[in-house]
Amino acid sequence: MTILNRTSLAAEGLSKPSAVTRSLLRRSAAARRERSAKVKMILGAILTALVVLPIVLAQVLPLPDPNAQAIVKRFAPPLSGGHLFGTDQLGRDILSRVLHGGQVSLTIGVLAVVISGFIGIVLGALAGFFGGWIDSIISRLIEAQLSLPLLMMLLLVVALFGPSIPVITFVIAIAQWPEPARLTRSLVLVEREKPYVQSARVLGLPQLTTLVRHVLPNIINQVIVVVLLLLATAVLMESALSFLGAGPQRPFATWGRIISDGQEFITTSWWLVTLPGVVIAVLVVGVNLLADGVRDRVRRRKVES
Amino acid sequence: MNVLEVRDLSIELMTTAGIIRAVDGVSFSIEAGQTVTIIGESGSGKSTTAMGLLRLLPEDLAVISGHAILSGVDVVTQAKAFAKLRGRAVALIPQDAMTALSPVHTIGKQLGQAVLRKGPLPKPALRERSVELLTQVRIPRPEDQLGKYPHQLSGGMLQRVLIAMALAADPVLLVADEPTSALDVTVQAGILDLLMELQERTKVAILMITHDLGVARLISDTIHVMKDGRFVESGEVEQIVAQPETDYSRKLLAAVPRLGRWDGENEVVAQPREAVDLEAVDLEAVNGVNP
Amino acid sequence: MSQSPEPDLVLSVKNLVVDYAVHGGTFRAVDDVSFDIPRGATVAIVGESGCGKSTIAKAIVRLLKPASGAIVLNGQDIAQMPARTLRPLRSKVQMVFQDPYGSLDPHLTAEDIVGEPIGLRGVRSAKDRRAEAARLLDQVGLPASARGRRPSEFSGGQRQRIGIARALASRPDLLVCDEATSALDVSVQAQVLQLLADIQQQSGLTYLMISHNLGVVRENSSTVVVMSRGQVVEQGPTEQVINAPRMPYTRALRAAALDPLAIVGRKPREVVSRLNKIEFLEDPTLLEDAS
Repeated sequence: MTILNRTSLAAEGLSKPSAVTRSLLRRSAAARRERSAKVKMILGAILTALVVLPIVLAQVLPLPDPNAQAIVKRFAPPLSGGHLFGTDQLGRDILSRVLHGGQVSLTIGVLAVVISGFIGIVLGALAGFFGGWIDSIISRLIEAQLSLPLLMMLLLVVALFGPSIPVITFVIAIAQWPEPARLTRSLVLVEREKPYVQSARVLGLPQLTTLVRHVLPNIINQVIVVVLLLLATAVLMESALSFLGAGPQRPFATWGRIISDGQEFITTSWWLVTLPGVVIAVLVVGVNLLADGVRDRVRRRKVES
Repeated sequence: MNVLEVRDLSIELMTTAGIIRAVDGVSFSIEAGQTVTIIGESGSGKSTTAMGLLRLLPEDLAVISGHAILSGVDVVTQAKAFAKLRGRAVALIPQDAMTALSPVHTIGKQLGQAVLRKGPLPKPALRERSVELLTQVRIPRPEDQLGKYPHQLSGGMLQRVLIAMALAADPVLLVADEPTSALDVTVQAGILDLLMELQERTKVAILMITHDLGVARLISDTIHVMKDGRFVESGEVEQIVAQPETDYSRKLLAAVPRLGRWDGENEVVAQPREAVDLEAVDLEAVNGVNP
Repeated sequence: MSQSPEPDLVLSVKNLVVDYAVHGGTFRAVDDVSFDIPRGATVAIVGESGCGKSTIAKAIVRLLKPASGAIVLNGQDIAQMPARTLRPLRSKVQMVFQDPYGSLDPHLTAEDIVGEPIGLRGVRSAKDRRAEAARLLDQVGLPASARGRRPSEFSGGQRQRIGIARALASRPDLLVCDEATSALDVSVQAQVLQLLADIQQQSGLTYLMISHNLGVVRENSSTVVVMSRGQVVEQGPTEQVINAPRMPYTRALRAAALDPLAIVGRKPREVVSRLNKIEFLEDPTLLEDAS
């Protein structure tokens, strides 16, 4: 029979040695999570920079004029005669077209995302915070828009208003705002119930001030991540529109247009279509990885707070 | 005869903030029919000890070392053998009944699963055993409760269901992790009485985790006061409460609001509390978690 | 014949009724409750979860609007006052919340959190705001290094201190503590209660304490209001209510509060069994029917 004696353990000297081995630590959940977030962010950043930097610097790089036609050099394969991506059916350097066209595509993408992000966050926050009829109207708008067939709608608007860059940008922004709006609304709904928001009310703060000063800063990081992810979608949407002929007209040769121009030659001169496609893919994957990695970091920090 | 013998148990957690030694070399034992309580504040490591003993901590988070022998099996070194014991020889009564039960399955279904841990049973026998268990935990109209869902029962009722599930396989050890912390004071009394009655009848050993000195005083034979992963004081419960030896235990006792004894009719003794200088004892560091 | 002077009441609640909208009707959370809070006193509301005590607290700070009844603050009835008229009066009644982890804006520093109500009072200069915030943080026992830190860097007790400083920054006449120490460890709870007592002694601030813990209430309040299921069961001077409770429910609350130093013997089941004999207003073996 073990009778436990009355003991009071004074502070001992040395503790026991740790049983955590290197390999256990490496395999631990925390280490894996950290590694994966880091890997994603670095890889994502590299891929994105790989595409974005040359595009931004297109003017200063030693590239031939994207619209310069040279019939003698048509259908030159990649890596031949100073053409990294080869030439198309009119002898135009594809790399140059992709980079210059990328400027338009990216501009449209970034602008559309900024606009849709702003509209989405504002409407989502108002809907989530105030509820009532504001929420009803905004939620119905979101639902209505999500239920429309996207591409049809975009084509319709372009058909009505013409395929100019502002229209395309606007149309993509309209297509995309429901997603950040929904996310913002849910996040605001959750924050609204927290005591610190109630405390602001007890202090006598007007509702709108509480929303802007207290609620939004605490959720904005999570929403920004989603908005970043939308950039990739925006670029894809623009490409789709251009491919279908509803994109910005000549002389702007955006990615979708480049691909559509080359599609009839896909079997003979694969590089006309494939290489621009690869560039789009790399950008999309890069941005997604980057945003994913950032989201992992944000989530981790939220958990630890 | 020891039901559980713990020697030098340490649990280290691999977190993003580094390696935390949540439990630092604790030793204790529990005999049949005995209740041992680990009492401590949040962050003391008491819940981690209980979860670690039952191997309920994720393998990629916790590294357990030392020895914990239950029914001849060492929990720390014989993980596979222990897996067979969990739910049978030893059972857990978790803190929050709402999250411990599945909201989409009936009480009867979940209780039945616990019963089946012991071995297969035909349906009518299973039902009979389930009703028997619910009766043991003093749930009225047990046949009616089998078909209900967790959200239809009150907190106290759900806690009784959890106790029934823990008893289903006739365990020799019950680990109760703050079983009454989420309950109202008036409901708590009934749960504690139930546990004590069950122990009298079945001689089950109980490891109780709590932060409430009143609960500990009521239900324990032995208590261990835990702080920062270690036991700072251990002994028979009346002695620790009457004559605490360490500053920390004294601090805990001094901080409990005194109500005095009361037998239900008149105030028997109105004890004036001794003034204890709270400032003289090292309390929560005022300089912040990361100075 | 001389008339006794009108007591100076900070707050007077008369026939308060608060309803919640639920599926298929309304739920009456507060049913005709009346009590007074004299200036400089501490009045406590005690009861089990769901009795309506927190709802009263929320109604008093106008986080909810009562269905009927009066809340007279410094002579003015604020129960139905429109938001615009109410806003300048809000600073007079402030609240300390239960949850130390959700009651502070996570992205602001302690200085900003306490400085906001100072700014609302009209102090325009940032330097003056910071100076006063520093003074308040010091008053609640936090060091200067705490000013620039965010809530995540503080422990639960420290966060509550920041919450108290924030409430004081509005220069209120009445401070409502809605289970302000319930989520804290026992020793930290004692410290925070001591802080509140010190502040009251220094400044004559009036408190309304909401608690489920009779022990906490006894130490600090002059008057106790006992509630159950939305109604006042009993109210009166603290010592009287606690030592000579009239109503069965109060007796049950009193009996269920386990004072570790008042229990005698090893595992006295008769203590708990006695509780089962006392008539409970809320029968713990009753089940809630969700339908």
